[in-house]
Amino acid sequence: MQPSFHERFVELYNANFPRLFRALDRLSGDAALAADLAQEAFVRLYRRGETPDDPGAWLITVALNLLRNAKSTEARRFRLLSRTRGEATLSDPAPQPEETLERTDVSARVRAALARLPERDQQLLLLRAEGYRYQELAAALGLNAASVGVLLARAKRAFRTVYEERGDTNAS
Amino acid sequence: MHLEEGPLEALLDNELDAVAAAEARRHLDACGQCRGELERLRSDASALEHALRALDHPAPQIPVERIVARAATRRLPLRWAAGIALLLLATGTAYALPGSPVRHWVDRLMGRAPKATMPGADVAGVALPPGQRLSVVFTEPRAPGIVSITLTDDSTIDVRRLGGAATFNAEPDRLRIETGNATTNFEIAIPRRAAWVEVIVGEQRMFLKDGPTVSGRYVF
Repeated sequence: MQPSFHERFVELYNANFPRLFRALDRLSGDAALAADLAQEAFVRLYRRGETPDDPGAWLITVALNLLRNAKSTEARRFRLLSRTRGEATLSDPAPQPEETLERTDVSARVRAALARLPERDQQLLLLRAEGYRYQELAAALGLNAASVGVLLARAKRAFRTVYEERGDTNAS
Repeated sequence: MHLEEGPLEALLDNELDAVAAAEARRHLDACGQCRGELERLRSDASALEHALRALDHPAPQIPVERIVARAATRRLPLRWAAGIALLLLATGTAYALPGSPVRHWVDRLMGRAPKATMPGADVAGVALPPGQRLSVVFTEPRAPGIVSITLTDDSTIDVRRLGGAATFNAEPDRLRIETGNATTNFEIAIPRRAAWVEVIVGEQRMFLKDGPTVSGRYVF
């Protein structure tokens, strides 16, 4: 018997929510916003009432559009890729002060390095790191699937160069 | 002829089809230069993966039922409910003012002050301006169901009931929610710019937003 839409949705949700949240969190630097947007993408999928051909690509495309809208809404004062960590909830274990400083420092360095890459490269790197397949990346970012490999390789090299440059600068 | 960067990256990512992957591996067995290039790509990937871990927060645990309930929510009723709640809040405030004629009118027409009660509908809620301080209080000693809190860029605090039943009682600095014994899920959207908002169940504070600092749990 074919699973119902609801059953397929639950399966998709369990399989995709964590990585969608993480991708949005990494892209936005705002965990609360990432949680809102990831939920909204799934709400829209449920309202759609049928499963798209490529649910992973559909979800990330919708989520990226939502993020783009959020960025363009001045009232949100969205600090994309330039802010340090958002507010932690009490359900997370409280980090030690030294640990927090170190983590914030590394996080700021990573964000600063990412911010120096073109937006498409940032999205490619962060989404691929969450396991999105080339086909999904191509659909979400409007690329030719055959060129994703080379774009990824160049973006990774560019990130590493900038990141290590900043490390040297910070160290000196 | 050497392998190009794109196919090598695709090989690392298991994105080459079986035939192309086998062909690439055969070439790599015989070509030190391409093996070196593959190692460089692997090293770039590893550096990136290591760096990105510094950005991660744990993913929130949000039950799928909450998504399904939100999908069933229509915005129009909430706006109506928000309007009604604001009207009731204004009426209540006017009613409380000493010497206000509203008290007389309301008493004459209704005998007692109205409550923002919306039984029966699947989804209902209220929207309130956060003011300087606002306490959202579930009067029963235990959470009525799943209560989830999100921060938004809206200007009002939206409290939405999903299923079940509830009575909302808006006061100037307090929203009291009574659910009786009904299992009821709630969504509470709090503006990021709200100065001070707490959510209390019984006598226990579950969530506090004090300026930019948030403590407590987003879902309980």
